[in-house]
Amino acid sequence: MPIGDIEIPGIGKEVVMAVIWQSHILWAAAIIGLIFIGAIAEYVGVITKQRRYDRFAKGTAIATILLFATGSFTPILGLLMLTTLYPVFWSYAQNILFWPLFAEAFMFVGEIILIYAWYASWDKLAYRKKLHVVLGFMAAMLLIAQQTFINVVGSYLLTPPASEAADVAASYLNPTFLPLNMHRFVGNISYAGFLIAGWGALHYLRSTREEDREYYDWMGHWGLVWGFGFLLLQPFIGYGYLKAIREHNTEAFEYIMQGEKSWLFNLLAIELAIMAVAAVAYCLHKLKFAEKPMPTLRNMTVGSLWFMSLFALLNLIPADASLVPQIGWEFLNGEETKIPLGSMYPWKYVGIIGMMLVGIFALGLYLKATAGGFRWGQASRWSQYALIATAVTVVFTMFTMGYTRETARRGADPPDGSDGYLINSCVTLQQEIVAAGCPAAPEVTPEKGTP
Amino acid sequence: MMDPLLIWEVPLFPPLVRFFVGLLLVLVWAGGSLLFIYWIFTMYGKDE
Repeated sequence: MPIGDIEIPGIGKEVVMAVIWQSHILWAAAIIGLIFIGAIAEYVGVITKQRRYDRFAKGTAIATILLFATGSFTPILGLLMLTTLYPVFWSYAQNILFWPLFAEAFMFVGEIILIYAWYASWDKLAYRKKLHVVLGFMAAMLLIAQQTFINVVGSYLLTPPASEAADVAASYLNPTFLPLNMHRFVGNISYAGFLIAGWGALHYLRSTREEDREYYDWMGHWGLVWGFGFLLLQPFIGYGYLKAIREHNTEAFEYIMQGEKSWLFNLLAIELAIMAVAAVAYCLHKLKFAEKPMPTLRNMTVGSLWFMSLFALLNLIPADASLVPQIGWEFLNGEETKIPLGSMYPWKYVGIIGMMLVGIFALGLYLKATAGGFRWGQASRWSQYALIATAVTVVFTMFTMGYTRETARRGADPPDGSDGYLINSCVTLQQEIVAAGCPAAPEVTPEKGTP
Repeated sequence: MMDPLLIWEVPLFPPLVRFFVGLLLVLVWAGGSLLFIYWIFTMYGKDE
């Protein structure tokens, strides 16, 4: 390294980065999802003239504003830390990814203007509601665009394209950009949906007024439909994402799916199981309060719950007895002891596809009942605990997925003895520049370092 | 031998401890923000 290397006492600089960006993404993803769902809710309120949609939309605007200060301060701190702790890596990354980061900054300015305008003009534009709805949608679009640009950065680090680093289009459309962007777009909505459901449940349990109980009961349902509905798309898109990683960064794929960190997939299976089973159980409970009694529909949902539990349990079976080697959870002969029904093919595929199909079926039944209406404000405490369970679990799912993407770059074996790469095959974790094998390096040059 | 460019040499926790300390810090930071919002929503009148 050409300049001094700064280390942080105790936790080290890698943990500093992880804490900052994990915290940031918890807020940023929530803001994107909340505004997206909030803007749609406001428009649904205009169409249906039901007061609760507008109340909900305004609640998302208030929550977003409260989150925005912390959510936007954190990446600024993150950039400061990147410049201080990873100066070589970050100057290369800024140089190669100048345009996406430049666009990112402008999206940020636009968001600040629009999110605050959306909130502040709620009453003033009460008689020009459609104009106000447009403000909300524009804010949502900017947030989605901003996430798209940062996904260029995130995906580039894992799979830099084979073209020269100066090729902006190739850097932008690097091999995992598109699946990552789809995965996060859908994931944000699901994440925010479950958070809304959990929030509604918490308030429902505390509410004493009938009007509030009805509203928060509805809010839990509304959040769950978004959360569970979009969750059902995730395994399919996630498969596409993993396929792209496997094709373009085989070492990373093997590290997170078959190697030392394959426990992450088992952890994800546990989280998916909790969310899916809790969601179907909630739907089943809610059917008791349908305006029109629906016994057949309810029986079919009971069946769905059984099947969902069965498929979820199938996914929980690990492939071998080496569960989490990092903390010594290795039993019998570790990797050599294969567990029946635990292999990825065919059992995990059967489990995941089964969960998706059963989930779509159960949600379809639930939406059919929703069309007929529910008696709000009568839900049991346990149904609300199920919603809170989904909200807590989705936060840990975000941890798991974020950690997986970033730790995947440790799968490689860089020539300088580092534990992994910052830009795959190009910049090591110790910030050494590698030219040999770096797909973005056209040739070995002094600027790019020598092998 | 210490890397000559390392500005100061500092003790680090073992990797596993660092992992869990990191997880705890995220929970404290993100959870603190959430509690703050919850407090505002519940202590200061109706959200409409």
